[in-house]
Amino acid sequence: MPRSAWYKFPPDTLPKLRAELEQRYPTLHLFERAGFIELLGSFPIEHGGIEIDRFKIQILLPPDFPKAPPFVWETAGRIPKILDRHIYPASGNCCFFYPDEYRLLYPDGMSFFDFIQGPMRDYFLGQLAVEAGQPWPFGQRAHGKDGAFEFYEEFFGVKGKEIVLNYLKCLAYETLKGHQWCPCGSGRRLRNCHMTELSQLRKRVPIDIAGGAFKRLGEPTASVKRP
Amino acid sequence: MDIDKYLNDVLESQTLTDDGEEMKALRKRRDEVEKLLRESFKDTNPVIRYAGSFSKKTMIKESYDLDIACYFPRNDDDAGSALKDIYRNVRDALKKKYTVDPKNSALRLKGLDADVHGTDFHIDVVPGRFTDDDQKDVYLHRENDDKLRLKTNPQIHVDHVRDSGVRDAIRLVKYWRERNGIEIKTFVLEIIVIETLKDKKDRKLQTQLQHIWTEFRDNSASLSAKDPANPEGNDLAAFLSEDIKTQLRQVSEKTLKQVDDGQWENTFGKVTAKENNTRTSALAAAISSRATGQPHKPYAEF
Ligand SMILES: [Zn+2]
Repeated sequence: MPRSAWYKFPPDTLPKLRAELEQRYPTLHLFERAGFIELLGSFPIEHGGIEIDRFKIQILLPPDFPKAPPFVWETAGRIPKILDRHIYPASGNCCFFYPDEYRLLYPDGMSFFDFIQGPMRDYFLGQLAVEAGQPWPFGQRAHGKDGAFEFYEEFFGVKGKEIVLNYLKCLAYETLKGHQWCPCGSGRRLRNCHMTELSQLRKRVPIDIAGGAFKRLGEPTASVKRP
Repeated sequence: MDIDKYLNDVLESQTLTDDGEEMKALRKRRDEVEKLLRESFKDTNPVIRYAGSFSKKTMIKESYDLDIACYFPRNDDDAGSALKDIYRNVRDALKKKYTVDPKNSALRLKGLDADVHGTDFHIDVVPGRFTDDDQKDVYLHRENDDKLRLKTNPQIHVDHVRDSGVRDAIRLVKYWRERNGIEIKTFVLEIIVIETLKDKKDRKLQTQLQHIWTEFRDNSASLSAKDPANPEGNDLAAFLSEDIKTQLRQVSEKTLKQVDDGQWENTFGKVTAKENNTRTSALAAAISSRATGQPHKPYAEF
């Protein structure tokens, strides 16, 4: 049986979302378009009762939302559509985080309002800072593979691309046995090293994510320079 | 609250002043574009002039695109023999100095040099060719359409809007469209507003707007627009898709509810003198209050 779209069940999902939008974001409007939920309008960036600015946007909620994050475009041509402004040049949408990050940190996804008030608002705050000639206020990832490695180093709590790849390989393809060598490269047996950490990571990192990342990051292609 | 006073304040806050930064930048770019085009097409003498909302006097700050028309004489092949060639030759000429984003009939200019790479300059160059020696009607190329050329009379469009007597309502409706993300094209929206208000030119702004939204809410299915330069010819129905009609209807319905409740500021926002230091300190405060929440770092790849 094909899985029904996320917004069909419970049946009041869309009416509720519409009603809350009308209250909280009167300039964002929701439409149903060919299986996708689309929002059009403008998004205010407010703080302490002051509207700092507002971005004209389009949001697309994919059929597997909230497991998969929303796609967002800035539609007034205000943000240059370049990597250094964290826009995917080909598709023109905003890049809030390294994609695996969303799936690993929010396994059940985020609610729509948590998403737009969290990652989406942070991103536009960052754009405002950059427009004002300041650095990215919350830091930024390197483009391409380097940024992915940065994320996994943080997430695993390790240093070095080799180690990240070892961890990914271990999480994707191996059953953890105490006598195997620890992927951290210490030269010790797993049971005497990172067994606990890896057992816990195994619960948090689905095999398809680890395997996918291992394949992507393991391929020997040049990555883009840091901005 | 005096609604018409509020609406006039909104209009004023949306006005691009002649000596403002935006206008200065636009004028400078316009001169730059004209120079580049004249150098590129030395053997011919195109008419290069402001077009669009600048000449119609309906610009708003929220989306201030400047249209620059570049029309070549009829019997002149120096810029290309076919309309398509003119469009592409103008595009290639502009590429020497800009990143050119081709739209259907227009060419959008963005930054090329490293320091402004990808920056949208809010300028559309519209290449075309006069249909005869009177230099009134023009043919425009359409890159994405089956019907490859469009015959129109830009001056009639400009006059139609500039002399409509409802420019304030047009500007407010444009601003409303921008704030609510409705995907209707400006010139179609203008034609509809003018038609809808043709017997209501002397009403208050508030009444005019409510009338327009009521039309959109109740009669979106039968909305249509006739090109004033070619009422029987160019079919504008393609610019009024079902999606756009749905957007107009749904947003108007919500807007009418808001203004019936007196919530005009939900519709057009608060008009505050936007002092720069208030904005700067609010931005700094917003950033520092988020910094502890471990925000994500933005990323990108090809
Ligand atoms: Zn270890």
